[in-house]
Amino acid sequence: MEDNELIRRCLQGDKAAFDELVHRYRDRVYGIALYMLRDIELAEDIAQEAFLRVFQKLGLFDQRKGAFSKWVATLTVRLCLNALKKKNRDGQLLINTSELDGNETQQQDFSETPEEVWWLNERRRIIKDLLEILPPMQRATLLLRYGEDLSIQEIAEALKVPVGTVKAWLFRGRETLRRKLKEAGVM
Amino acid sequence: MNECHKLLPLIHDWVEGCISFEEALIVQEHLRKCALCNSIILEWLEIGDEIAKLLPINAPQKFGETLSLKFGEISRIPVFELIFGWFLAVCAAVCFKKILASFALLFLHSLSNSFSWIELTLNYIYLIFNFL
Repeated sequence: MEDNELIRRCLQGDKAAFDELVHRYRDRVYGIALYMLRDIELAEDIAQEAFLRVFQKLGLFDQRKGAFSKWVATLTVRLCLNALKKKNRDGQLLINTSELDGNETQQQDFSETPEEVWWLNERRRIIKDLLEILPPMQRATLLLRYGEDLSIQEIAEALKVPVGTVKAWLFRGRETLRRKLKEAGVM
Repeated sequence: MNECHKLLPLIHDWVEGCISFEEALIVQEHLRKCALCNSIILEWLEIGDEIAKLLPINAPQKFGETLSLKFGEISRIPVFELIFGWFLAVCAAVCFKKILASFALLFLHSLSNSFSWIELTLNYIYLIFNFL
């Protein structure tokens, strides 16, 4: 069933439709929260808070402005940034990234040789580590742009900053990752 | 090399497709002769792909159950809070109406010169204290 149909049913008070929406997006929302906050418990709390907000604001969702997935991702990132401000947790590495390993839903590509697989995994692990040390706004921008496929204009509207600022964050974030990956010898 | 360093932000904007026509011409001209910047673009694209693959992450097993509990809490209609809120609002409205009526009455008396200025001021002060 399409998202818009589920939303329509939710607005009519169908709890099962909302459960389906949660089931559909919870892993993405939780992933964003975890990368943003670096705290497993807080990420779970914020992801749930995001769904509660979605439920409360569902009537305000306008499908002409973009997909539901983008709307949810934007809302989650905003909540994460607020949580970071509130708790002032930035800079503290609260989880070991190895806790995330094996917890992902992505599929392994078996067409690669074991050496290539190892190399790709190593690069992914380093990107994960590096993503966590980027400033929150750069991290948020990268996750929204490449993780959720939002346009620069959409990110600017979501984070309430000028387009030029988003461009700068995106460039700095990606360039930092590239340089660090070069230094680590995996690029 | 120095030119590459200066142009990199512009090249990044070009990759993202948010650049003016004139700037795009400058970038394309540079890319025609610079292998380094071409390789950097490929690396940026790879990084973008890798970030896309980082999501999603499996949510904890009890995510749905905990959410249902929280959902139940926000769905509860706070009857007592609603009644108390309405009660307070009505009280405030009645008090405000009374105080306005008192001020109006005092003002009419003052027009008829039946009060001295001292009495009038004291009356106003009394009314304000009564209101507070």
